[in-house]
Amino acid sequence: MGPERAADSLRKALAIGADRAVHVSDEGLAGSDLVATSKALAKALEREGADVVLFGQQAGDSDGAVLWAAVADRLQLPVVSQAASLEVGDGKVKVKRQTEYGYDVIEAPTPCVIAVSDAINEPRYPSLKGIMGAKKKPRETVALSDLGLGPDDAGEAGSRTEVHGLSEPPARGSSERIEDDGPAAAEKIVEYLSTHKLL
Amino acid sequence: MSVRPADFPPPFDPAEFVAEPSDPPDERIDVGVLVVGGGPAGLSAAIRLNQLLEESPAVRDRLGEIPVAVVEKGRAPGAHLLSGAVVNPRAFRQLFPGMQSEDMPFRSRVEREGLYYLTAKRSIRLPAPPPMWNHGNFVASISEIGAWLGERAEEGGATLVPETAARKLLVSGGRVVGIRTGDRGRGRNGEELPNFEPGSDITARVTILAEGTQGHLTGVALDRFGLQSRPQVWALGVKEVWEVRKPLDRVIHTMGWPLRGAKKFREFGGSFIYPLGEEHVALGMVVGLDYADATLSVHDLLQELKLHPFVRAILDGGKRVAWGAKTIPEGGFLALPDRFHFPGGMIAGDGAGLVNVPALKGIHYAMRSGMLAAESAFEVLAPGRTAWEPGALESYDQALKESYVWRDLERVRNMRPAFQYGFTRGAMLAGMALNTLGKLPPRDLKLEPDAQVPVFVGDHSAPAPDGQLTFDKLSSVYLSGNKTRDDAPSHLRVDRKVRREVAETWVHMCPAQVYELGGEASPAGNVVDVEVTASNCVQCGAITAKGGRLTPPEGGDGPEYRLM
Amino acid sequence: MPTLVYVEHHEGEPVKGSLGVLGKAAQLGDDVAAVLLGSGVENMAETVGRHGASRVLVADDPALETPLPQPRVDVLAKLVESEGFDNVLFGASVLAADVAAGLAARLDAGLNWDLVDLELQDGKLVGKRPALGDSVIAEVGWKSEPRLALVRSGTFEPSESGGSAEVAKVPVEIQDFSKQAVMVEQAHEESQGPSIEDADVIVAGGRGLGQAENFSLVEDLAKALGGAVAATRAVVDAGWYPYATQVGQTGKTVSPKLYIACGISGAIQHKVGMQGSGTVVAINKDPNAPIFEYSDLAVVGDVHEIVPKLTQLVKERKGS
Repeated sequence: MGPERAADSLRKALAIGADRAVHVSDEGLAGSDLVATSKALAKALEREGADVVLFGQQAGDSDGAVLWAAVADRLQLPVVSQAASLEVGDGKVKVKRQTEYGYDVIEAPTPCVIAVSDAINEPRYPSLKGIMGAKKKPRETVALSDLGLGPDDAGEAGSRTEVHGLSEPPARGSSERIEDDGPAAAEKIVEYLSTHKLL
Repeated sequence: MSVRPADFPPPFDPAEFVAEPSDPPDERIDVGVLVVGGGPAGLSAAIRLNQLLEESPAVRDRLGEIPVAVVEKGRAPGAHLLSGAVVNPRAFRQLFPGMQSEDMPFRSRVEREGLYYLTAKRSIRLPAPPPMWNHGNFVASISEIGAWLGERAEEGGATLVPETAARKLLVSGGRVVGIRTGDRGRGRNGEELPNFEPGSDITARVTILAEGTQGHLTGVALDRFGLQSRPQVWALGVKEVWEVRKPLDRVIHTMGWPLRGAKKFREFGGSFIYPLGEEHVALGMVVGLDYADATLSVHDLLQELKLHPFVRAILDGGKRVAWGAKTIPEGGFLALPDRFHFPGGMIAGDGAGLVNVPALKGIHYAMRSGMLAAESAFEVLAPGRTAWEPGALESYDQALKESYVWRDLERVRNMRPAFQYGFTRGAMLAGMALNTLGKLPPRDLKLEPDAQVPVFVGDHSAPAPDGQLTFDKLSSVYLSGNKTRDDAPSHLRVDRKVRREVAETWVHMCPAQVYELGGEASPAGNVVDVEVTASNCVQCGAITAKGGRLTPPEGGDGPEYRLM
Repeated sequence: MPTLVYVEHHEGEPVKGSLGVLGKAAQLGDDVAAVLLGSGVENMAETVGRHGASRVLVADDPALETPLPQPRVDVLAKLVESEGFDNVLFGASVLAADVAAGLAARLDAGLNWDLVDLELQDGKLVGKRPALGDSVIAEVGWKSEPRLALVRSGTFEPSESGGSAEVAKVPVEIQDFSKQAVMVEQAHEESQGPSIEDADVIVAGGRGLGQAENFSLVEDLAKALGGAVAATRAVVDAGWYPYATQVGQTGKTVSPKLYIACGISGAIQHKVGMQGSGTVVAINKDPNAPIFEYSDLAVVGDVHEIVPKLTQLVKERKGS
């Protein structure tokens, strides 16, 4: 789902080995937050009836690492995220999930939603045949109306969060400077860390 | 004793990049016409072919599933293109008959222009010589032109293959039958990484090389078929695009400061400052790579240029938003290849040296040559001939010689070479050539290869970058969009133990800070190690001009120019 | 402004990040409830109460034993709807992110994530988060209630207010589809030392260290501070340290509370990988090193002298 230039990413996906591409594209989707995006995506995925829906680790634009859980809830499917390895077979999946505490092993029946972590692999390069064959693979463009959604479901109207504005981060820049070699400098650093509750 | 970069040739043999097809037939990719390079020349060739094939469906069918393919090493057409640029719309009108200039990918019409001679503090307006007059021309971004032409080419039926490097020329039975693309997914020492993807053979009935300046396979073909008996010379252009508060109202060229006119320095070049629409300004420094002072850095000269009151006023309050660098073939007519075709293919565009240096024009020549190459290819393929029969592609050379490309280049042929003799004498010789429309001087001047010019370590030093108006090389590389992975094998071939003067030349020359001085390599201290950080490289090609050799890195690597 | 804070727990203890968020919520208003979901978690209610909650809601059920998100969404959705909370706050973690997002979809409620600050403007909750690779700060808000917020790990420090809270049980009803993902094996060990993405403290080394062997200076300091070791591109290129520790444009992006750069000049390619760090201390011999333009404490001096002494003093301070 994305504006016109997202078609590039779809083409890459076809070149790497996908069989078919669906581009959810509609001006009304611009400015969609998590609520609106997950709603549109879930509707689009419902049409597909996939056994496994795969998500990547995070969005390029907003560093959001949360989309899959929202979509899975709307689809009422089990979701497992941070997959560092994934086995699919026999109507179920087995996932090694990367957490702060090490790896969980989780199983779920298909259909399900899986989000991979970047530990899952090194993305492959498309073969030349893949790049050239991508043009011929079926590509479909889908608008809001095709998904049974109206202007209130998407874009800013369909969003529940908003951005008020952007600002420069508080300027950093040697608020303190120490010019010294050796022991005195080390002591001053420790004092600084202490004062700033970093030690 | 004079030291020249040419004394330390790179470990490079063009024969390494010539091969027979090796993929099994069912893995080979077969296309009708293969265009190598997605720039103005290559894309114009593709578009012209689309047009001709559209009118002759029978011929198109004979060319198979992929009648026209364009291979491009950058992320997308435009990503590796860089130029000033002021464009003569002539070739656009020829390629798209009936199209209005409002619909062409230009930013604005040239309304006013000025040529200025700079000293350290002042600027003096000079009358511009006729070749430089730009009435009727347009300011544009060549990366935008490339992207636009790419879309037209695809719409018309050509298959674009970006992120793909053309690594080897496939030659069989003495004729070019296609290319082999580069591998992807090798580690620093050439080992295959888990996602390794080998290159493939692409075979074609006709191969058009349109790789631009320092084209890799172009160099290989010129060598393999003995096509270049006269040396080419290059200039390095380093360019920035700025968001500005006040729109610029004229196209500006400058000469003089910060370049030095004395003959011993051999510093030829100048700057350009163009309005890119209302809100942006494109500016760049272009210097011939036959300069002699090892400490000259075109990147840093551009930074210094911005400190001149004349330029500072234009950029006042603005913000740097893009940066790039690329070489320009400067030899003109006197450095053209002996022939523009070889059995199985042709060379078009900057790769063939079709640049008019005094007029600073190359884009419309590139497009025109691409169109002519397409027409010659069609002429051969339509009646079912092959591109390697004797005389088959002779029509291309013929067409080039009858076109305005040839005429324009011949007229100005001695102007750039004149400046080998220093600014004053050069200006005199150039003036002479200008006024006689090229009939004088009577004997053509000879060009000396850049790497054969002796270098000495002078005392150029750049003012420390302030991060607002002036910047360091690494910040510039960052702004080019270059994020080449660090563990890729190095694509740069240079002798790693060279005389200090040569090493210093490379260190300062490279706008991307690829080369650094390593330790001492000789007891006398005048031979040093050269360290290479290949992932910084923006593939400008300067190293090839001055003693090393650029080969294509993995497809997709390098800069991602959008505004250049 | 009734607020609910999700308190995550691990091995019988509430997680520090959640307690920090709880403390911040208590600062912003009086009506703060915390929720504990799991099995056999009631005994943590007292600790939670001391860290800012006026009410602790406990959802205790074997079905909530394993740290899977979807059953938690079911319980929280019912709870938020029935009690009418205006704000639901989470300290970010792998689990919390999935719970918060699932809850956002369930309730059609706005979720802002990666927040580094929360404040009240005209009585309404507003957040701040870094954006565009930590190069700008965005102020973000909500257009409706409930407002869901995921706070970046380690943003707020917990503080004990010493109060006690009333404890209440919460009904647990889980949907069928939420039960389908099953934990076969649960992770238990803490990794040996934090990974650089999770670390609160990072000590990074650059070419200024001189040679590969000197990286031990960086390692020792990191160990003393309980942090992770990182490296610059130049150093990884030279083979001194593995690529997995590279911070920068073509390596990892990190945002620890404390980043100590040893012998790093600080080109922009490096800066973009760590500019979101809380406090940056840079030690470099060159007074004009670019890194000093974006460090909080600039130390112009010799890393070989300063770092070992610093390590020693840190160890003494920590009493180890």
